[in-house]
Amino acid sequence: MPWTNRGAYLMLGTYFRGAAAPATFYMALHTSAIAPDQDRNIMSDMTEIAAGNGYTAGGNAVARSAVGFDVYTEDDTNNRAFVQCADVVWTASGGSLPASGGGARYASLTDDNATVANRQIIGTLDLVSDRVVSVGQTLALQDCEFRINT
Amino acid sequence: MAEINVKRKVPDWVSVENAGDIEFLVIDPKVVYPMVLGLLKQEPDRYWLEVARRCLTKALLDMVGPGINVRTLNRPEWALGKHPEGNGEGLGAAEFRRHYETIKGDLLK
Repeated sequence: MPWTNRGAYLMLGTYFRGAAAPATFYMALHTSAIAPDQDRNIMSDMTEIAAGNGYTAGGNAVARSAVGFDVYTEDDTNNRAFVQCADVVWTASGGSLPASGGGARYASLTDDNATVANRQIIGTLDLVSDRVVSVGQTLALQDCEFRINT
Repeated sequence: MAEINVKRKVPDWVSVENAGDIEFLVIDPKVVYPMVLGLLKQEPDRYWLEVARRCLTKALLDMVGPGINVRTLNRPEWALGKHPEGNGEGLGAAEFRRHYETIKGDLLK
């Protein structure tokens, strides 16, 4: 999951300045209408999928804890470090997910601003194609990793 | 088997290292990559090395539970850049779970 510039900024600020970290992170889904890049820093920079049928605006919570981010890795062979996010799963209920509009093409990890549109995007993931799941099916993001190369 | 957090057990291909407050599960690529690639019946390339790394991480997570710290020792001969592209490291990371299902029984012994 590539970082946004804002995500890298926030992470450094938290570590070096002791800036407040979000109490909870969120994993949100976006349509293909706007592709993410390093400068798309807040939720309103992208197009979130329609709410409903198992998807809540703003996405699913990811605990800021060893449960939400279940693996840290220091890779001395490849000179990089990872943090891995626990699986995030949505189950379509009452109709297909997304409920309308385009499928889910991108995922983003955000902070927990009370106003969803203002949530800062920490990193994004390309799901490669538009994803739509039928009633009872799940859309799962498994073992997403954030990487820093040194 | 080594012990981690007293009650937790890890297999012989993992060692436990305490670095300050951090308890690392340490894996040595020259030991674990040949082992996993052998189970997968594959030669090393970037795709299969990423599959192997992710399978090892998932096995540790399944054994120990969330909140683990993993350290891969420096073995330059096993660096991704020293190996052919294959199907690519990104795809290896995306597809590893179906490969993991075929070998987890051996990894979790």
